[in-house]
Amino acid sequence: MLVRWCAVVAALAVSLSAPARAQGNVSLGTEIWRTKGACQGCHGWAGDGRKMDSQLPDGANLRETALDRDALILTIKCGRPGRGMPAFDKFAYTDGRWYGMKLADLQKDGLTLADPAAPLQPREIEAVVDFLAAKVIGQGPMTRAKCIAFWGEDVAVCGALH
Amino acid sequence: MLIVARTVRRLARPVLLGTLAALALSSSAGAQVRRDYRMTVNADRLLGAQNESQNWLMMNGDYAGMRYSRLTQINRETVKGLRMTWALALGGMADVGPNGPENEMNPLVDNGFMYTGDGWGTVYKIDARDSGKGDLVWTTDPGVQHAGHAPRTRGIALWEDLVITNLVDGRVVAINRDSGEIVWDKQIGVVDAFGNAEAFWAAPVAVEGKVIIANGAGDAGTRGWVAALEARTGKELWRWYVVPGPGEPGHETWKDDHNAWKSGGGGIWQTGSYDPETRLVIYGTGNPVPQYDPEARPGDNLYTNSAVALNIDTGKLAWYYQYTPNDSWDYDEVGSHILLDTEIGGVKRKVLTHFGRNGFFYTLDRTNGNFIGGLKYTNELTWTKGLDRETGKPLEYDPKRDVQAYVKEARALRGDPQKRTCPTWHGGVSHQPAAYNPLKKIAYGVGAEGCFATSGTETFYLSKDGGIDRKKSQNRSFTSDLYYGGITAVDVANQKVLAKVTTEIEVRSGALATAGGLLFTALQDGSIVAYNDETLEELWRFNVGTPLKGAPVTYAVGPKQYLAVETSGRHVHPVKYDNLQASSYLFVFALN
Repeated sequence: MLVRWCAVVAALAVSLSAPARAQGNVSLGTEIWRTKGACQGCHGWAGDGRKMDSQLPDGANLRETALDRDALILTIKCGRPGRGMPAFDKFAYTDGRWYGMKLADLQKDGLTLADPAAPLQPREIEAVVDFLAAKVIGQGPMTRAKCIAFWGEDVAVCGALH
Repeated sequence: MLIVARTVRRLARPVLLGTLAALALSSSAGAQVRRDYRMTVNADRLLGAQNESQNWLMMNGDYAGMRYSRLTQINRETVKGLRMTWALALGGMADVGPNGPENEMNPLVDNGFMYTGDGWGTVYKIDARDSGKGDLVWTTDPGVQHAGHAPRTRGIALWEDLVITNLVDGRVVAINRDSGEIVWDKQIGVVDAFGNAEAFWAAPVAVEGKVIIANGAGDAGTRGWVAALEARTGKELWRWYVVPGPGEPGHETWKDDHNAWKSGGGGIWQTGSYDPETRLVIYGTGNPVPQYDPEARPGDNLYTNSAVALNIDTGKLAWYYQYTPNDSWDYDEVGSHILLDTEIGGVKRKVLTHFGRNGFFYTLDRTNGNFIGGLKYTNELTWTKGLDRETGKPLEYDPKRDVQAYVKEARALRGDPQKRTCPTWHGGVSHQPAAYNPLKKIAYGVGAEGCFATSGTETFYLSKDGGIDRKKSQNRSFTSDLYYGGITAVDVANQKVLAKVTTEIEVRSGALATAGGLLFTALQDGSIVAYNDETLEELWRFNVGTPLKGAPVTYAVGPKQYLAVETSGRHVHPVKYDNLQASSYLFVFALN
């Protein structure tokens, strides 16, 4: 099932036309990442998969992700049923807009879907991806210098880094 | 839904009981109608909004802005039995700052369902049909970035199957009322050349397929404007700027040599009225900017501090009336302009009335903007000796002067120490929606009384091309401890103050008049109060323990009348009730 799911995401990501890009909305994306979306709970504040709450699902290491922008947006919107990643589009499985699937179809396949901390609008999801592109993806392991730049100051968590 | 459902059921009943084939046929047709019929908030219903006394379809009740309900179950005799029947916590409490969430609005009600919002722009649909509780049907958060904004709303609008909200970040959003899904989301407000951001606070007005919105961020140095969007798509149809640009009529009233008009203010931050007969939308406009330095902008500064009437189809200015030219006291006139027909001096007139922030109650001819009457309604008023009986202009107003003198002792110009002026910079009535009882012909204003003192101040511009240099400009010094609250009833036909009561601090909410002989308002100390609508004798009071900035509304579900008030939000001047905690709640009352 997992294989099928990922294949669908990848295939769709290629076929989707690029949506209008939010320009430079990194600060909004950062805010959502840290607070409203609670992304850091599973993915870690640095997006490296070192989750902040041990009770939460294991989030992917997004610093090393191979997903492109469209695939990231799609994954945030429709989640990864059965894998703990919530669907941040509140209407994701209400009317078959994604893959023609509704919540009942997921349940039929034995796939659970986690609730998001808060549903996000498309523009907010774009901003989160802007943040990931600017601050996380392909940035290599977190270091003390990157940590200070990330937080804007030498916060306690940076002290443990070299 | 209730009333219509009942009608459909009545229609369907003979069918269900009938034995004739013909009736059986109409039975299936009737059932079809019942299944498919979706009563939306269409143009006709909005035009006749006051006739649907069970509902509250737009921010101020109807296009005339009367905030009047024909419901009578809660009346002078029964009001003492008014009790809270349910409460519901709303959101929007994150990052709210000292003023709280500033939910300066009331819910809209359409046949048992409520629609409301919070200061960060989240919209809520609530099933209010159960007399014992309110159930959230959906919650839609359009995702306003908190950083750089303050949470503040003065309402939302309904159009057909859409709920329309405009946001502090300059977006306008339409939401499907059944699913809560966003149908369109447009960035309409922008950041101007000097870095000042436009913002929306006033409730949009849905009129004949259009949504009328207004930029409120005048004090931030942007130019106020009114625009019409196509309701189904959000496409902008027209826009009218309060401060005219070069070549436009009125531009000559900005006589400076440094393009002060570019950051001239005139924000519109309270909702407007609509006159279907003349097809005019009528708004009050905000103060000129810089607020306290009239020498920086010699001239009358049109069309600030004015009533303006715009054609709904074209956005063209049909008429205007300016209340306080070349203002220096922050006397915005964004407050409600109530449209009504009445006899004045024995003559039938189509008029509008307006509780001015400058302390006068104005009556204008709403077909052409001509002045009819002006009445001092605040206890103290010192900035002018009075109004000209013909023109309604302040007696000291001299059209030949670039900088008006008014009453010298009350007018602080550049270099002046603090001078005491009444009413305060908060009014009078500032934006608080007024109410009007069309049977008794009484208008009700709630707001501030008292005085303030401010020093003169000098504003500097970045260059001859305009733009206020905020670093270089002087700050004024002022007092904000000289004032209190007031509730005023004005007999419109006879142009006199009928009654007045005062409250410990200013009232920031709004008024609600009902056919039950009552006037309701909500206070900063957390009290919701009912007054006798002729004497303003207090008849009922309930304290919800959180400051109130939203006006009460009333509606009915089935046989029961309800009163609803949304919390919360303080106003930091003057600082009283500091220990009261802000909240984001809906409180609903009914008789036992």
